[in-house]
Amino acid sequence: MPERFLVITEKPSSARRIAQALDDEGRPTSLRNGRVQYYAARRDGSELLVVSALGHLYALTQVGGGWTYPVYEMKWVPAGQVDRANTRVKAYIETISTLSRGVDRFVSACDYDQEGSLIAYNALRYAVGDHSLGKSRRMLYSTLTRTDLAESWENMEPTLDYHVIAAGKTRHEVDWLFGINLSRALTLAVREASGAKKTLSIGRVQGPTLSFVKERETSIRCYVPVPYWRVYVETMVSGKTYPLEYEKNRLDREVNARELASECRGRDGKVVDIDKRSERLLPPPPFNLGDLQREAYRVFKLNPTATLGAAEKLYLGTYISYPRTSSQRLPPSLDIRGILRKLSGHPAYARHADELLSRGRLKPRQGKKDDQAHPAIHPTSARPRRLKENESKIFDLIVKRFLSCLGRPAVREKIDVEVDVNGHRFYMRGVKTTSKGWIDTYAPYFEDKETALPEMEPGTVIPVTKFSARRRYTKPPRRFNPSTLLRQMENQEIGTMATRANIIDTLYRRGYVTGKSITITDLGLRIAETLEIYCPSILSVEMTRELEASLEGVQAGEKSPVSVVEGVKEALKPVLDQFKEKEGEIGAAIAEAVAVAGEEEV
Amino acid sequence: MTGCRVCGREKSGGSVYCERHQAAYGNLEESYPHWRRALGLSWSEYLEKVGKVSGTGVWVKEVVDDVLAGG
Repeated sequence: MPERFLVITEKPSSARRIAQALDDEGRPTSLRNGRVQYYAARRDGSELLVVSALGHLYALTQVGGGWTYPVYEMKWVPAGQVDRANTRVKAYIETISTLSRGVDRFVSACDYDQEGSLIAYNALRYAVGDHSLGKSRRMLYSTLTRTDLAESWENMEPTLDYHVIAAGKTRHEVDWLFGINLSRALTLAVREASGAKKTLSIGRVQGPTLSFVKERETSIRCYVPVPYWRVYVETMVSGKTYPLEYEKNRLDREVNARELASECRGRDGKVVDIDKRSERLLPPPPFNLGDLQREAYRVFKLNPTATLGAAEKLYLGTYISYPRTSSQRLPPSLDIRGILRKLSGHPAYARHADELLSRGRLKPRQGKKDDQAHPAIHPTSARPRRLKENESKIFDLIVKRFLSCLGRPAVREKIDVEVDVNGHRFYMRGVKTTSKGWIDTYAPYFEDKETALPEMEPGTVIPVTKFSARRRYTKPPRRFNPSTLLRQMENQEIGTMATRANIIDTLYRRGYVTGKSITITDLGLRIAETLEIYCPSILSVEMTRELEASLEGVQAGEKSPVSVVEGVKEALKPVLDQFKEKEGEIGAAIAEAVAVAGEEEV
Repeated sequence: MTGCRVCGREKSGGSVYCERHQAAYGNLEESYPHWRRALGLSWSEYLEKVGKVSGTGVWVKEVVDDVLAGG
């Protein structure tokens, strides 16, 4: 009897890819169980049934009833029971359960991260049964290409990745405890105070993120600009005008600006020194998800969620590697030449790919950040077809970044000409790119600004043709945009690369922030101010950062999941007690802003 | 008067302002020496000027209006 495998994938589109890659002839049979499509494949004499989940098929819910708090007991149930609108999961659960009959072995082939590992684990545990876990193995891969998937099948892990599953499960439980309790506490406080029925939410990552926006907004609204003076000077050499930069960026007193003007206006300057130096501009490392999201915002003004969405589509289409990665490094095992050969068939990339292929040794510029599970984002070997606009932009950015990281450094010559005007020092500054290197490859995403200077030597006399001193004012800090807020979350080590963009979206959806240049709403401000008074730990970066460290400890097998969840319950208890005690005051403080937000919604 | 002189919200400590407007007033006081050194202005001249600069925060402008109105 041939051995029978049930292979569980994360999404329907990946099921088809995986079935095609694993089938001996690349043509699995497409079958249906009601509305759910699955595939039958043959590989080396074994029978494979490849079926997908639909992301998470199971979700957490409270044990017992009542819309109140505190709630500490939870259980996993089919996701449709938690979200009634999620009507499709039932059919997928039934299909997995039906297909599992008569199967000898099970394979988790979901994306290799905490979410993917947990999706397959829950499907096996609840849709098939605990007996399946001991017969389950794990495929690990970073691209959906045929070669990688076949290799992943041959080198499957002998068991499920239980530490990763435990970390994913603990993360869901911890987030559920925070989210359900704090959101209910907030909503009920306002309901008690005003009868308003608006649902409010706050969570362990959402709280500190809202706090970042609130702190920035407070700095802007409390900002007092301070005056200073900047001098603008011009000279003329061979009929061309050049700016002269004063040695001090700014002058603090009006009287100093006036003195400088009277001493320099209409005078001649004399070149006293010329400093020429060569500077190497190293290529950028390949993208991790955060870098890609920031760069896409910089060059296309695409928000982080849209970038992640486009990158996921490209990954599922086998055009790029797995995008949810922290790594800025390409492993030595990656077939860089193979990828370049494929790119050389693409008219937009052929010139650069061919040039790289002509070199003896290719060494990518590596970044500092690494990720044990996945390499930096890179193109795979396929030539994309029928891409949507955003996908096309993101693909181009990823390919050019990949090609650039293999490029030579750019070389620029910098020239500083020191000019003395009546005892005051000024500079003329020039930049010339002598070797474009990777800059040429990364065009148009890197702007190469050159400033040419005339031929001069020490002793050359040049006239001051224009002199003005203008009053300026210091500026308040800039508001966050989705890209800079994402970076702040990364720098403060809160959330994960997979969840940060979602958290920012939630702040918008809840009406706490508004605009591309992120402005806090009155509701968001009131909630942040109120929590700061009554339960500041919810807004604290330290608490959520410590939790992230604990979750990493669970994944490393160094911490017990139970102790982390129990620790969260302990930490929540005094916060929720305080909430109950001050419910009236908290509700009253927020209710007014809720009422205004409600009117604005109408 | 029980609330903040500008917005009516709860006063902060012994201040006539709420926490938001007290923070704005604190910054206003802190920045005055820089303005005096730069332009040689009196306190009231400073308030007149700073209230008209575009980068001045909204809570600061509200406090300036309150002080100039004789608050």
